[in-house]
Amino acid sequence: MKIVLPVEFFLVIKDKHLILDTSVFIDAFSHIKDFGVLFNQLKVQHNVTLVTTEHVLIEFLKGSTTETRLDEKKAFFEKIIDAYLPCRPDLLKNLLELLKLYKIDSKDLSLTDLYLGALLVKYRKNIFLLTKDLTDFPTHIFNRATYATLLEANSIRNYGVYNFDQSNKE
Amino acid sequence: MLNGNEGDAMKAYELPRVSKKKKIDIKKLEFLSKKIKKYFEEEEELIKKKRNENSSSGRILLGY
Repeated sequence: MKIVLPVEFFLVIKDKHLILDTSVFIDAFSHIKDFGVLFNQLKVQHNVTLVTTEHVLIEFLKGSTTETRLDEKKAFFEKIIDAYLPCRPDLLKNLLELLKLYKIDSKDLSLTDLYLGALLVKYRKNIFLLTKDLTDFPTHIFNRATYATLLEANSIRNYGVYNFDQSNKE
Repeated sequence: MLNGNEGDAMKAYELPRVSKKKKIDIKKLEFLSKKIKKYFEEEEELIKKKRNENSSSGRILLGY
């Protein structure tokens, strides 16, 4: 297994905040060596702050059959991230603006994805999202700044790195 | 399309800063990740089983 990155990958997100979504955490425990190396490169060599939201945590924890399992999943999750981004009530304004851009395409989106999108709108050029759910963050709204590819024995998984940079849309 | 003059709702805000970032101890996390992978696989099986049970009882209720 190997994660392949384009040459600009680290340059694009250097010194920024990178939000990890649920799909990344789910793939990370199956490929912890690859993701662990990537996350440490981001944190240590490129001063990237790995963040997420409590919505993503809940998505990751739901369905846990025992309290111990829930606690272990939470411990795994929190060993990766540097901080949770607060989803304060004022984020609703950004979310409502985002719904106007998505139009009908927001109908099937999860609340978690909408909040992640709203955080991209709020923090603009200073924050990026790493996700495997490529169709949930369309490029007519978000800027796909770079990407990463996980090569497995029998498949290839692609992850997009998105931000909300309107300067590319004009 | 937005043009950057959308008022307060669309202004960029300061992000919380983390001065000292935690380096991930991959060796330690490997053990935990194997357990979690097993948990997710078991949960997947359980939920499939529950869905099957629910859809079967649904058929009986509907008189199929």
